[in-house]
Amino acid sequence: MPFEDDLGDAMRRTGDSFRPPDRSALATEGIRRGRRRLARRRAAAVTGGVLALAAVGLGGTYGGGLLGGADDAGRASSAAAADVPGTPTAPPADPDGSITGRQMLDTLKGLLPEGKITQEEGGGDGSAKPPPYASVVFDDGGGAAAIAVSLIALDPEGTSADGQVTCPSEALVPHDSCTAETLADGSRYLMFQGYEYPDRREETRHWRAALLTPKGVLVDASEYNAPAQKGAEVSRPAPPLTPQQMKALVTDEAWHPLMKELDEPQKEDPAPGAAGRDAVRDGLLGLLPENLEVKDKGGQDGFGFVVVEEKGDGKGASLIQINVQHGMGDVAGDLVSRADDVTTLPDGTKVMLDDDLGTPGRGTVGWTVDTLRTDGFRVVITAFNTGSQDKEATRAEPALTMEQLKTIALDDHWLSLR
Amino acid sequence: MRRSRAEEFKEFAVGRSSALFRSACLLTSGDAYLAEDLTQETLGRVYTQWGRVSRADNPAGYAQTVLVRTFLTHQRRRSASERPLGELPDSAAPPGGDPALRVALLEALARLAPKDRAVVVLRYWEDRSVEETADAMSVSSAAVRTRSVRALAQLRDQLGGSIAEFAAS
Repeated sequence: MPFEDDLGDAMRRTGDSFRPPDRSALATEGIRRGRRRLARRRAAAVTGGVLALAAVGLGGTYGGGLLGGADDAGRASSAAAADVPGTPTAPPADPDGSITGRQMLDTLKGLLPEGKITQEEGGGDGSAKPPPYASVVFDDGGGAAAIAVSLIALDPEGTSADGQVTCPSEALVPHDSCTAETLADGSRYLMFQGYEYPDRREETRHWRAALLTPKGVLVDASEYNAPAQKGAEVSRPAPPLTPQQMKALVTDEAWHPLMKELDEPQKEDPAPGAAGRDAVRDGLLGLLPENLEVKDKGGQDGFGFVVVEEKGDGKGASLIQINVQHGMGDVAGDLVSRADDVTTLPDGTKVMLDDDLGTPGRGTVGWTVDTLRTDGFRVVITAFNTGSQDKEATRAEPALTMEQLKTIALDDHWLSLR
Repeated sequence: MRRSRAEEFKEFAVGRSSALFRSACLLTSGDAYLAEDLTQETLGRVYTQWGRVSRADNPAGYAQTVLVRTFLTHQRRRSASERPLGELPDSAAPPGGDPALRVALLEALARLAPKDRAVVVLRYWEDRSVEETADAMSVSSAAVRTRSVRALAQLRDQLGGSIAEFAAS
């Protein structure tokens, strides 16, 4: 037997000889760590949904995109939609095997202008897990560029769908231009012109056109000024299709027969205990001191943010974000252990202060007040000395003091969301 | 995470923990304590992505990939403090199996560079192709082939013909 076969055999025998001490305990500890990671990440950053489906398409299958963008890499592009409780309930698209990657590719190619097309990929048939998609590298003579399109069934009334056709705040996802409109047939349309990495650590431009039909089909097209989504050299100054061409691409009737093959989107459940997606944002707005002027605002279920400046002092923008969460009691120990200062109020509420949430290289600091009530209800607020976590510091200190943050986080207003 | 999804994850985690733990034991060349830690860390990472992972093609394969990446990250962080060679820590030693083969193989694996070991585990334990291995480790296929050739040569040197005897037994 060749050595490789012997080795495979020996590996199997040896590997199979290990028995985990307690599977259930491993799982429980895994979940605890996951919750701790989630708690950390939610406190650090939550971003808009505009790039959340970017995992679909380029560079292979949905799964491949997942692997590429998982966890450590994906603060800007991946975290929000998957983590916010109650947001994306619908497994996108459950085609009954009738849409093939070939059809997707043929339709996409039929809608592109003159040019050379290579690296064709299409998929989404069969297993029903990845939504139907097609991606190609297109060169009109000006440089090779990746273009991808996917069809996804989404509850048109749901927050996931809404996030796909709503311009992200500049504070969360810096970009060059974004327009959102409602078309004559009731479809919602978004044209986003930004960057693959909102912090522009690579200069790859990402332009995205998304059409959400009243029936709940998202036609989602992206193009880049590079031949691949991640890591490839920029090949041209801008992506090949103009915004007008992108709009024509996603609104073309050629997609209609394929749309009909998609299953009905699953209805989205509202997040448990959520008082509507704007409740946290509006709560925060109502609690801000009067000397602050609101320049931008936004939010999702359980999350709200504002960008403020002090009236008439010109000290620069400050991002303030707040998360309201339930059932976080089991991570109390972790929250306490990483805080700089912990006090316990008479009613048992823990108040934890942390002043080093920022990006040292950019000179940003984030001051955090984290409050955890005895039933696991948590309100955590952070103020930055910048208007966007992807940008340099705009002022010496955040616009709110620790004391002011504490007052907001502990305000009785939040108890209505408890 | 909504309750139903949390329960779904728990089920997944219990179901996959044995497979993850076994891979982790091979990656750590038999360090059961570290393997447990890696398994838990991996499940934690998958938990945070569960909304999407659960809808992907192959959540189990995804978890195995996260395990390898977690291991490699861990190795980078502590590259200076590799365990001394030849001292295998107590592992959850099972009854049965082939103790001699086990010890010889784990010792040989321990002498490989961590990335080479990861290649061997992915290729010969998880039966992944060169391309799949490259994808899991975020390196090129050429790099996987190079590591593969080097690791096999080293293992052959150390295990020599003895592995065939074990295999035959």
